[in-house]
Amino acid sequence: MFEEVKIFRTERTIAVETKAGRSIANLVELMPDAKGIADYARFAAQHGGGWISRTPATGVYNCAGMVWASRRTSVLDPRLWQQIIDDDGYEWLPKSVFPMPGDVAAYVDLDADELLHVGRVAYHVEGLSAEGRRVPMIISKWNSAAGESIHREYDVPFAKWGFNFEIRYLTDRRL
Amino acid sequence: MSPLLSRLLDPEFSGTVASLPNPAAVRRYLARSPEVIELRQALSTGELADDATRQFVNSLMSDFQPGKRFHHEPAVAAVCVALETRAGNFAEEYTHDLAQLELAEMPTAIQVARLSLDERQRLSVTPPTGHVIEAHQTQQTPVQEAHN
Repeated sequence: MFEEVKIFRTERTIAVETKAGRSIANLVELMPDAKGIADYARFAAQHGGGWISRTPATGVYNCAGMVWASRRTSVLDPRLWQQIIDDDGYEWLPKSVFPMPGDVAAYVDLDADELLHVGRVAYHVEGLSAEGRRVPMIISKWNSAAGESIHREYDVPFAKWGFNFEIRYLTDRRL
Repeated sequence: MSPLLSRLLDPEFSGTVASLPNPAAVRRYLARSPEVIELRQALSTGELADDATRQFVNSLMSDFQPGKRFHHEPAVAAVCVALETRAGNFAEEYTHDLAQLELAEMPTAIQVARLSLDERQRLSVTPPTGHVIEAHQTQQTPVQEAHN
C-alpha cells in the first residue's frame, strides 16, 4: 500500500527538549490551503459563536506547540505532553485555587484518562452565576490547521463530539 | 463504490474528523463512530472485500500532492481504525505501510496508524516486530533511566 508516496520524506522537525533534557518528537505542519481555510471558517462558524478570533487558520503548530514550543511546531502525542508537564515542574491546581493568566488549561478525556487539548489562560471575565465566580478565558489552537481563538473555559466543542472531559489547570507558579 | 466506503468522504464526517485536536483523539472518535463500526463489520464478514478497500484507498492517494495537505486523511485513518482488530495480510500491510510513511501532508493518518500498530501488538493481532517508529515512541533519556 501507499507505494506512490513512499518515496517522499517531507516531515520536518525541530529540536524541542523538556527541562530535563528529554527530546520531544514534533512535526512542523504545513500551512492550510484554500480548502483548509474554508474548513476552519465552517468549524468556527459552527462551534465558535462565543469565541474571539486571535489568528486565522494557520499550520505549523497545534495546541501543545502553542503552549510549550513557542508556536514553532506541533507536538502531536499527548503522552509527550505529559512528559513536558512532569519534566518542566508543572503542578495541578487544586480546585480551590483560581487559575491565573499564564496557567495552562488542560482538557482531560476522562474515558481515555489522557489529555485531549491544552490552552493558555489569557484573562478573566465576570461570570453569570449568582456566586459571581469569574470565568477564565482561554487561548486555544484547536488543531494543527486551525486558527487561535479566545473562549470561555467550557465553550469548547469536545462534548458535541462525544468526549467525556473535565478541565483541570496546571501552573508553573510555586504555590 | 460501496456506500460504506463512500460515506467516509462525506463532508460532515471528514470535517469533524479533521477538526479533532490530536491523532489519539481522532482514533478514539473513529473507533466509536458508526461509519467505522459498520465498515469494520463489513470487512470482517466479507461483505466488503479487501480488494475493494484497497482500490478505494489507492484512488484517494491519486489526489496526493507533495507540499499540500492531503484532504482524504480522515478516510485513510478511518480505514486504518476499521482494520485495527483484524488479522490478515491486508490489515497488516495497510497499518504497517501507513505507519512507516514520513509525510507532512498527512500526519494525522500516519500517527493514527502508529497508534493502531501499538494497539494491534497489545491485542496480539500483530506480533511484535521490534522495528522503531521514532516519531511517536517515548524514548528514555539517561535522566529517566536513572529514575527507573
